[in-house]
Amino acid sequence: MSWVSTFYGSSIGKKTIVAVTGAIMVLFLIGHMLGNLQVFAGPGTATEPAKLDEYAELLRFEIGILWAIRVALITTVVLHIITVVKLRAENSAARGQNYAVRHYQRANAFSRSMFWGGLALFAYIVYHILHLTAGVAHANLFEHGHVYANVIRSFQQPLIAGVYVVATVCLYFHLFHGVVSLFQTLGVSHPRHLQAVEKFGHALAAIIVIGFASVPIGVLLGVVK
Amino acid sequence: MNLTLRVWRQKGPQDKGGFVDYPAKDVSPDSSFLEMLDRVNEELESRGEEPIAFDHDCREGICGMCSMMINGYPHGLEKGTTACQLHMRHFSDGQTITIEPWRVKPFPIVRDLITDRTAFDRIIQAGGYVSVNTGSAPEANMIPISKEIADAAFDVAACIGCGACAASCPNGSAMLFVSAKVTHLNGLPQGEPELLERTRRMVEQMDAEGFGNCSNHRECEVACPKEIQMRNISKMNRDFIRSSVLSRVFGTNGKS
Ligand code: FES
Repeated sequence: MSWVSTFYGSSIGKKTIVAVTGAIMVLFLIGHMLGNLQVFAGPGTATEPAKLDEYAELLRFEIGILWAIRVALITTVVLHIITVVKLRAENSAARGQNYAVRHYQRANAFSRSMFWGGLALFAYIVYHILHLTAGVAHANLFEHGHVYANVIRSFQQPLIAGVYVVATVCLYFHLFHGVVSLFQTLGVSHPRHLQAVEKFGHALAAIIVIGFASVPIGVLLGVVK
Repeated sequence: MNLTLRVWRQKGPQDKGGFVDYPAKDVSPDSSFLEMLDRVNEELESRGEEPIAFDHDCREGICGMCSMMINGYPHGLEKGTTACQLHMRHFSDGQTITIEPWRVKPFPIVRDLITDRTAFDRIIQAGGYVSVNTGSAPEANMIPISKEIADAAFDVAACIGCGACAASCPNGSAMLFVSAKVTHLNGLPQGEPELLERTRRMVEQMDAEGFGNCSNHRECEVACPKEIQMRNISKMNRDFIRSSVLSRVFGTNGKS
């Protein structure tokens, strides 16, 4: 298995790991976003629980499997971050002194915000888990097992809803450059498809982000109560 | 036209270096950038000062020696042009032009605008060749090569190894150069047999030289005077994964 460490030690090996872990997270995000949308099915009735609560219950059907998935996801996130930090350290070591005059022509807000934007997203994820999974960030607004009520109560606070919306904007930047880069890194990109891949990147990022942002915005506007 | 040059002067690898301003008077718009520098140097010499050291050889855009950052652009702003092929008509009278050497760690500055780019030579030595049995010259048309494959190989063979890709990269990555050399040979029937070894060795050497990692800023693609495309990096990634993962796991040549 020494090829594993050789591969991970190489530039392209690390880039591949970042791409693959990124792809896993994109798939997770799609599922997570679709699950969230059930908030719009409403609070349920006296006899029937909210769709969102039912769904949350469904995810917990087997606590062992839930935890296996959680551990896999955490490993993915940690691997993604550790690898990126390594790559970035190598990049700064490779750069010489800064140019006195330098005009970038293609590097843009998307490509240049990957590192700090990514770290901001990580901070947000930690907060998000403390908030709506563990229920410790805003303990007064949280009741275990009542996902729907927790979401509504939290997002009625403009500050909390605001943090979530800002996070989705960060996510858009990260996802767009990430998705396009993924194809390039895994060796499936071609200039003939570059425009299509970029459109796909924007579209996928937009769908995921709108899906996520619709929940705090919807609650704030009183669409769901 | 009259210009002001802000030139990076550095006596040697250990010297700290700094900018010095020089006037460039009566510059002909028809002269090339290097000819303009030649005239400034003649004046410096006539005054007994040390001329500005810069690299050059062919002066026709094919050797890749004339590496310099001109006003914040590698080889200047003109698309697909080396510094030696850049003409002064692209500048305007009274302009200040800042000239700097490539700034990337694996290319240490030798003096003024001259950097040591032997890191690229070592990458080529690691695998940028095809092994051929010696003997009498083979029949020229013995190995038929289709037009598309020949064209693609020619496109990347245009790389002159000037280093603009690494110098322009915010990450100090030389992947455009290495990918051009790798895909040039990997795509041809003569180079195919050594594809796995070549890709792995050249990437390993690139890493050992201390170059950074591509994160798709796409700066190299616009900086490249030969307009080499980043699709080659994608192809190199594919060949590298084939070489270091698929061939290990499946024990084949990684093809299936
Ligand atoms: S001097 Fe040869 S490419 Fe410019």
